[in-house]
Amino acid sequence: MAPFPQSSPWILPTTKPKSSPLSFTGWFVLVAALVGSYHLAEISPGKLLHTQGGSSLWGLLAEFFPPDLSAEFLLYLIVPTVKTIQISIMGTALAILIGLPLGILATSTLTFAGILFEGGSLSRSSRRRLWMLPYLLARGGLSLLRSIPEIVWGLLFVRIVGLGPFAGVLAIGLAYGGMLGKVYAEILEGVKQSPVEAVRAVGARRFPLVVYGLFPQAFPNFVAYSLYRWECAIRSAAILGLVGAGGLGQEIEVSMKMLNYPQALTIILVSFILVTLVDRVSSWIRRTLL
Amino acid sequence: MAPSIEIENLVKVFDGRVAALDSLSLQVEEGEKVALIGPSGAGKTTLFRLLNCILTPTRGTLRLQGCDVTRLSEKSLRELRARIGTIYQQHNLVPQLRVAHNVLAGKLGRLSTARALWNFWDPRPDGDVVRALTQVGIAGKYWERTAALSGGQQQRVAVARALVQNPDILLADEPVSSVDPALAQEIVSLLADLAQEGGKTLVVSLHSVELALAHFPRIVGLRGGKLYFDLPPDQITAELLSGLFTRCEAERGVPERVLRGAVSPVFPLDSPYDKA
Amino acid sequence: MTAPNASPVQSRPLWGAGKTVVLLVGAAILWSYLGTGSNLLLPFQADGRHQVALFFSQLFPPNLSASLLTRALRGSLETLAVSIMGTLLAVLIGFPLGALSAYTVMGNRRFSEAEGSSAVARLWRRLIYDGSTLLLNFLRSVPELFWALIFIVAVGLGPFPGVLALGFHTGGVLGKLYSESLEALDSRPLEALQATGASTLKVFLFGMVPLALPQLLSYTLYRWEVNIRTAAVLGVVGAGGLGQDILVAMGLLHYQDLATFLIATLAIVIAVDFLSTFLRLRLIPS
Ligand SMILES: Nc1ncnc2c1ncn2[C@@H]1O[C@H](COP(=O)(O)OP(=O)(O)O)[C@@H](O)[C@H]1O
Ligand SMILES: [Mg+2]
Repeated sequence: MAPFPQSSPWILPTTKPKSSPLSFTGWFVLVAALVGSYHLAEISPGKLLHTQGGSSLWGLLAEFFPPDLSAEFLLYLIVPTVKTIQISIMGTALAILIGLPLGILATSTLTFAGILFEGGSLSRSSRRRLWMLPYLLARGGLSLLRSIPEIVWGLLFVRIVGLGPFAGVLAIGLAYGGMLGKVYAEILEGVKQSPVEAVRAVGARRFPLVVYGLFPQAFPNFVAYSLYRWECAIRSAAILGLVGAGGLGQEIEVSMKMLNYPQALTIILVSFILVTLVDRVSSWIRRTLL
Repeated sequence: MAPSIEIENLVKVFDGRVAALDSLSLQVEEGEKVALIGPSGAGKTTLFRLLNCILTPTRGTLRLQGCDVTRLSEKSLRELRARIGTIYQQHNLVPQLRVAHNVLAGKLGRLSTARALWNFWDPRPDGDVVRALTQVGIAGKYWERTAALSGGQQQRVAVARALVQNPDILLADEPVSSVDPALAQEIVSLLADLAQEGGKTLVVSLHSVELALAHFPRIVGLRGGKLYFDLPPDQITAELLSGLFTRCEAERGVPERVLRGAVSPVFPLDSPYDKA
Repeated sequence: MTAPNASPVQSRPLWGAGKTVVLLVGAAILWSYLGTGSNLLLPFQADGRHQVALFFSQLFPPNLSASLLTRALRGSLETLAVSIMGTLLAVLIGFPLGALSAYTVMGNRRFSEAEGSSAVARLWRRLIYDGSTLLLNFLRSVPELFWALIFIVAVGLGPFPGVLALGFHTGGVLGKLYSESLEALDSRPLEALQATGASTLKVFLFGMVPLALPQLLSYTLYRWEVNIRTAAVLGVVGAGGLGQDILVAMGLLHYQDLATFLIATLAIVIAVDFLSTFLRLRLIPS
């Protein structure tokens, strides 16, 4: 089945794979999906050459140039920019607050399986099975949280808590909480079990056991992944304004509505700079902490 | 006074097919010092994991200080574990932590949760810790990251953790497999002296037969999960030893482990033989 | 033995860089908490709970009338189509740019010496390498929805600008991931191939691409999973799909319709996750 000979890792593929990785039906479905998608997505490359208004694509895009770099507008953008940063930070913090407990519950090696549950009497297996329930609930909850895009969460929370950055924080917190929780669980399940066993063997209580034996192993990966999510959160924070959750997105929405394209371009550039900046800060934190 | 360790027809089967221990019976009195020898795959590590109540026996009885481990509640099991110290073959330290935390982890069985967490935040050494570190000769490394230490130094950290725990029964699974011969000698005599002073029960598995014969009044040979002999050192003959260590391909042993990949990632293939 | 200065254990520096970072991060979170007007006690306050409960109770029961289900189906299919086409476009953009921004391909480290290329040729390679890296960075740093706003101006409302938006942003992301995996390849088989006298292009086509293919496929499938989520919301700026339906239902306060569209979103997202996992298992040798 393997399309590439795997006998020796550095030997190049030399023979044609005997069977193609996709069956005939597979290829048929693939082609049908592509053709169907092409039509459903109303793809019309022609539009890139002649737009409805008669002007060319480049003519329209030229309306974005030059960006509005007047001091007045730049000063005005400071507050939304700061708000965007704050939404991303608080959103990520909330995501960690949601993701960590759910992620722990969704870790089989912490709830019902593995070395922590070995030893002693044989009669405890039934009680262990009871812990499957919170485990499954946490898995399901995390999946629900991350399957709804943050923009949709944003739309919902703008209705519940009103327009403004808090709705953005909640949106990022819930959607990213789901992603963080899943990855935290994977990290926790992947740690080396032997040191945990050793700490358990000295008779440690459950909580100190996890603090001494498990978390230190998971911590570097937790930090790295949470920081990566923060880098994504700054982008989400920028766009969440489009649905009324404050920050730069809200400003770009206004500029587009007023057909003030140079201002919109400025905002796009500002968010580009912001994203780059956050990448830098995040890698600085990663370097110092790990 | 009940014996420290009482094993009767103990069987441990992994994954329903690998019988790591096969009706083993053994009794160790309080304060006794026992060396365990046997080829790789004999079941030494498995025996230690049963003795420190990490694994549950598949069949048979295991009594520690008179308590049947299969009948204990989680709480008394934990208290029992606190009285049994283990030095693992693979050290089983948390590499990301400082030596300080790894050594202090030895005390966890005796501390309240709050105290344990405080120690984690502020891992200051107390008298016991300093003494243990000095005994194994790594006091200067207390604040280092464990991962940055050499194999021999890590082994000494693992020994220090067990010393800090100050257990009644001390189990050591090849505690000197990654230190040089001089230090090996030193650590084994340290363990033996400690056991002597504190009247502790000591069970050590060693792949160096000379060390075993030199320091222990009782030698237990294990092979294929079964007891091969249980004798004082002066009765151990060269034939017995060669019988214990000859490879027998037909028996469940090394080749099978390699072929089926039955080794759990926690316990990679150990082969004392290539170390000479 | 307990006196710290008598102990052979050295004392520890009181304050490290790690603690500074922790403190700064804590301060940043507090600053953000206040600045965003967040109220994390919301679930513990009676009226907060009431608000949330009221909103979510209005979603029930979801409207399952035939006409609405047809609309939801149509929106789902359109979203799916946009995600597929967007990912395809992203591959078309990301693969060439990613290859050009991988140093192992452009040979400003590994293959250049052996090839004995001239200084001018090397300068060209350097320029192309830097240029494509920069372009990828830009494509990636502008979020999909901002690209969508731009393309809506260019080609009008509908799913097409959504495809372009997904393609441009994801193209940047995939390009970076592709170039990273091309750079991380085991060099031994490539050197072996090169030793036969194969040109850089041939080494690329017959050595690097086959070796990297599983990883490239895996990244592409991963981005498809991301894109289905984005495609579902592109509608809020007018780029078609379920997002548009959600926005309309919200605007009209038709919360029971909204519930149906939310369920549809969940369904396609989870379906694509499954499909992608299936394809990954099927296509990628482990
Ligand atoms: N967790 C495990 N799962 C499956 N098999 C195991 C496990 N641990 C040990 N074994 C098997 O049990 C046998 C004894 O192993 P072990 O106790 O590690 O021997 P020793 O320590 O004497 O080398 C070996 O065949 C080994 O493969
Ligand atoms: Mg062993």
